[in-house]
Amino acid sequence: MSTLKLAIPSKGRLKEQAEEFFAKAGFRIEALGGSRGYFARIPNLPDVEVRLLSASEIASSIIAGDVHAGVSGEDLLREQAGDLDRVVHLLAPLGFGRADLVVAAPKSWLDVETMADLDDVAARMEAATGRKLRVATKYVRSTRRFFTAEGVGHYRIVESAGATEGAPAAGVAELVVDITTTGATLESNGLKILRDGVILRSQAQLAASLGGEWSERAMSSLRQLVVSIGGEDPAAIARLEGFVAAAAKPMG
Amino acid sequence: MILSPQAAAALARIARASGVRAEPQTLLPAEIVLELSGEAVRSRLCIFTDASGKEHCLRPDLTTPIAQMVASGALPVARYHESGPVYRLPPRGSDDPVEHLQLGFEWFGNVGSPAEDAEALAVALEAAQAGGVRAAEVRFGDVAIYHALLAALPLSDQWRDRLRRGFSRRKGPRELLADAGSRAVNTAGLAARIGALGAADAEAAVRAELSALGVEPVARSVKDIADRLREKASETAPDAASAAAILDYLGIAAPVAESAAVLRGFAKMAGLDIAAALEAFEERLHLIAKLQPPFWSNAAFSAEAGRRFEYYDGFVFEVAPMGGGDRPIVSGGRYDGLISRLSAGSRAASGIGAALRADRLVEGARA
Repeated sequence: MSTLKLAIPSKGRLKEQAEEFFAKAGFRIEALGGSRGYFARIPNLPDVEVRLLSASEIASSIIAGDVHAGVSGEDLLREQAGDLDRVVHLLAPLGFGRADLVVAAPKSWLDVETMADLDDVAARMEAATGRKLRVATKYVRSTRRFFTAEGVGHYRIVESAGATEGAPAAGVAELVVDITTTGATLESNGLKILRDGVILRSQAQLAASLGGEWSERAMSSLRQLVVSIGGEDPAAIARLEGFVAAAAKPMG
Repeated sequence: MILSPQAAAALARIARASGVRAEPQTLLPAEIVLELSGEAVRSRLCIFTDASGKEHCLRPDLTTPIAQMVASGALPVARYHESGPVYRLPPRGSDDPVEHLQLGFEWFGNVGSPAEDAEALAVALEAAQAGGVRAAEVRFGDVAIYHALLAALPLSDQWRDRLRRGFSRRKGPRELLADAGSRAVNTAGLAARIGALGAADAEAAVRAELSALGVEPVARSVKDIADRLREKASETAPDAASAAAILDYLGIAAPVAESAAVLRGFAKMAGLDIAAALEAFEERLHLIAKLQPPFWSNAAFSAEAGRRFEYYDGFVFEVAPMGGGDRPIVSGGRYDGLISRLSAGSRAASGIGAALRADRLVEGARA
């Protein structure tokens, strides 16, 4: 029977914070030798196979069931899964990697404070010019879901590879959907966050996949991990039990 | 794609009334489909990107490429019939195939009429019958009555536009009306201050505000922003009676035999003059009855029929297997505004069409 495959961020600030977090819970993460360093181990959890991946790869691996569990941003998980709650359970918010996914408009749009304003302005622009409002983002699915739920139409998504916040000034889009921690970057690019434009308050999560093969051995390691992280927090235990029950059922 | 005998029989019925066969292209610039249906449909489209970054998509229906050809002048305004595969990614949890065979017609003309509506419905229903469907539920509606209702109510222009475009959205008229109160709060502060000024003063105030913020106007002019602030300040939420009339109307569902009387009763109760739309509705029913199409005697009117499609603006109809309302065999309706929209106003034509799903004809035959 297979052991628990756990994915941990392999680089950047998220890696440091994840290592710190696990160390505090009593789990030291040791990268295994070799030039590529894709694997690691936790000496006091010998039954866990640790993989080092980028946060984005971790999100897609959890969704696909290639790993049992991992640490990634809720923003990435929600963006990459069509319907996250059917395939992944968020077992524990980890308190780091905080960022908000927000809708931002040019500050010069004094009349635009809310998503409802945006729909009015978009309809108006389309009527006047025949063109739809352009939204620059890396978060294509999250944007689409949020705009539909908020009743905003008349827009087009312009997929951005990087420096999304510069899109309006560069003339390639009017709006931006991006993550921000303090809002300072948006602010310095002449953008303001709409009052009801927070799509998600994201942070790093310990997430578990309903897609993988769960052996008893893997589930028992996960249980040990969650209990060590969450202590006796009843909410964390309830989430874990919910996951155990869902994983026991065939995927629907 | 080879047609099954059922599909061939259905198409033959359509072709008799529908001029020449159109051969629309399979690949479309994704932009055309997205401009028409919005980003919300993107997750259902088979889209890919070429080396230059331009997006193409496989046609999600046959109406869009044919209407596009008429809008660009590549096809004359006339009646067409068509058949061929169309491509839609199934929603999660659905076992619908990505590719399925569609048959249909699009009739373009100078002006639509209740007689043309009746004929189109009869052709679509007879085609379904020729294709082997033995029992079916017909649901129909009339988006023009909703538009007439909005025109007759004492609404601000902003609210009339909003409720009109909300008809085909998930956040629809009901949700918009429920939120109307919170929207009024937004006009406090700046909008109220600048909005109360005359046109020239408002522009000057916007300019002053922008320079205080240290920003240049982006994508919209100072005048546009000032104009909209003034509109916001003068905008009034729908009054209680108007909101109630809209909600009452959307709740109307009635068997075809009673539908005209129910709608007339509604207009009288609400004290609204939507007589022209109701007369067209009644004339259409009268003409349909004369044609005696199959499945029609049990048809049901629903004020919300057609909400799933953005471009319908008049008569709409759907045929589904008994008890299978979410899996229609036939969808059709009037789209008089489509050619004007696709051609950015440079061409105009009335239009009505219907599409049959060949795979579901077989389901309907089993029913």
